[in-house]
Amino acid sequence: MEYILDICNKLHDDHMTTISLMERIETALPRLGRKSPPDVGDAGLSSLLSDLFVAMQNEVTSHFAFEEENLFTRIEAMGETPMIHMLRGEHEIIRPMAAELMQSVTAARSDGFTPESWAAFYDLGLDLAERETFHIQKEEMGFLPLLEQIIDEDDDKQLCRDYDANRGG
Amino acid sequence: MSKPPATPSRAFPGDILMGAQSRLLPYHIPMRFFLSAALFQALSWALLMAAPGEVVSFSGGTGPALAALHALTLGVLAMTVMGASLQLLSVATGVAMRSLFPARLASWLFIPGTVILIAGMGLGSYPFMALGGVMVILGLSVWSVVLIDILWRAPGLRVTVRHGWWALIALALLSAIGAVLILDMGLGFLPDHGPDYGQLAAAHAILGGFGFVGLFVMGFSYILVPMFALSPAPAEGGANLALGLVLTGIVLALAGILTNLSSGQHTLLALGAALFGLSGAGVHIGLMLGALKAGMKKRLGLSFVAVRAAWALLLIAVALGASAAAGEERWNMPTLFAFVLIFGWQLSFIGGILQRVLPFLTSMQAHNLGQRPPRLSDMGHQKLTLRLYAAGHAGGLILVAVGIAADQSLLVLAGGAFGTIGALAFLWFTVEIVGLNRRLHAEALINSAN
Repeated sequence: MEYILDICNKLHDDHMTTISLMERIETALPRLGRKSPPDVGDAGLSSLLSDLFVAMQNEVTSHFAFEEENLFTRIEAMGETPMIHMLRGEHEIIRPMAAELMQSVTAARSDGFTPESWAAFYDLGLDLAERETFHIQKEEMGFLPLLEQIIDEDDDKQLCRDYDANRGG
Repeated sequence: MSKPPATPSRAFPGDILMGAQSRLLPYHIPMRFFLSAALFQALSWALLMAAPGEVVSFSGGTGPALAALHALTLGVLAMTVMGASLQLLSVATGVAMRSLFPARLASWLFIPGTVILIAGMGLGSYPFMALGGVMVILGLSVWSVVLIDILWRAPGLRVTVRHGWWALIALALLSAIGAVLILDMGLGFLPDHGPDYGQLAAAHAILGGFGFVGLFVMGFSYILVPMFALSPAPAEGGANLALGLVLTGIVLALAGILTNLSSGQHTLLALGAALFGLSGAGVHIGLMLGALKAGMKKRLGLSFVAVRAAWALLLIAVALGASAAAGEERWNMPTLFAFVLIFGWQLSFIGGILQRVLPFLTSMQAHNLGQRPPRLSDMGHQKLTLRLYAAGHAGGLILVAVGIAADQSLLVLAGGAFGTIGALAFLWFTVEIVGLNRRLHAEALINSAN
């Protein structure tokens, strides 16, 4: 999928990374099972936890904040408040889940999983995967196409600069 | 100089997800159609078991086989198209319904009308068939008026809207023929000259299978498949080409059925119809597979296994139809064609898509009510119900198809049992979804009262 605006392509790339990670979670967790905690030293699991931590950090601190501060306001100004209300509501649901997951990853890296912490991580991971996917589905199919209709080239360049600055890039 | 921002021209597939809040119907309107469809699905498989010997070589006439066929075509397929179109088209096109009353009226006429009509067909009761037929046609007419209003005002989604118009034309023709067929059963008024009962019944089947339901299925696919796979909508040119080829196939098939030509000319028209139909189906399936390949979401679960199987069965059904039209009578070819077309392609596709649509609509309703949406996979016992449904449906399809081809009524009986178990599992899934919608609605009322 390719958008006309650079800013939409940047957001789309973020979505691709997240969706791909969520699909890894949806595959890996059921394979490992919920009952007994796996060895965090396992290379596959260790890599998944690292990628998850980085992606959630980006998603919570950067991607969501950028959308809320720079893009949602434009759509709200058009009067599309129900749409933005829904997206903001989903951010508010996902944000604490992502933070909890990051804490869980940090704890597991230092002390491993206990049966209780693994069960909690398992449930949270699958819950987050589903909610993130549904959220990205809405943004890809509705929000980004709408941005393509209301943002001009100058705005696009400025938004890309803001996005890169937000990422520290 | 910078390009000015374009004026938003609304209505793209994402409007289903984004602009839906203000145009979501009360949950009980679409759900009454979906719940009825789930009930009729179980009934249609069960009716196959009632007279398996009649099913293997069915060629018309009242009884359980005719009742099973219409429990599926009217009770499941048309019912689902009605529910889905009322909710999804108004949301996707951004066109709100002017009033909810016509949608309610359509359900009050169509759902009991279908029960009465099927009872009449099963029992061979002409008064029941006449009364049920009138109610069904009135219900479909009221629904058509609502849909025409939405399609007329729709600012975008041209491909889906175009399929909708052609599907409604097919519906008008097939309803008229259906009424003539019912009247002829009671009054025997069809003249000796012109198309006979069998020819009209075949035209009725082609218009219903490939026209009304088939075109709606194709049109909705251009919204729903990209939405679930997270891919761009297929190119409009390709979708138009598929539509044109399928329509040409339907016209050629009708010409072959309704005209009294020589055997050679008849075969030529049947082959032409099949060639256009297969080409159109091939282009459509190619577009859908392209959308899945380009999609960001690769793990689409059991539902898209059913959808992919349905596409394969569509191609098989067209080939079987051509063979039947060309005069092939081995393997009970006309019956096998009808079974693979309706129970195979259309029921499998609708079952697969509804597994995604029902939880999706429930989540949207929760948002609309200001409640935290439940996880899609937490809605009911999906791991059990949908796996049981898949196993029962697949087992039913294979056994009944082999039973028809081999003229073995015992296999049809066993297939009917498998299909019934699968359909009951799907009914369980649907009941749980409807129950969840009721709870969400009740909780929202309590919250607003506090």
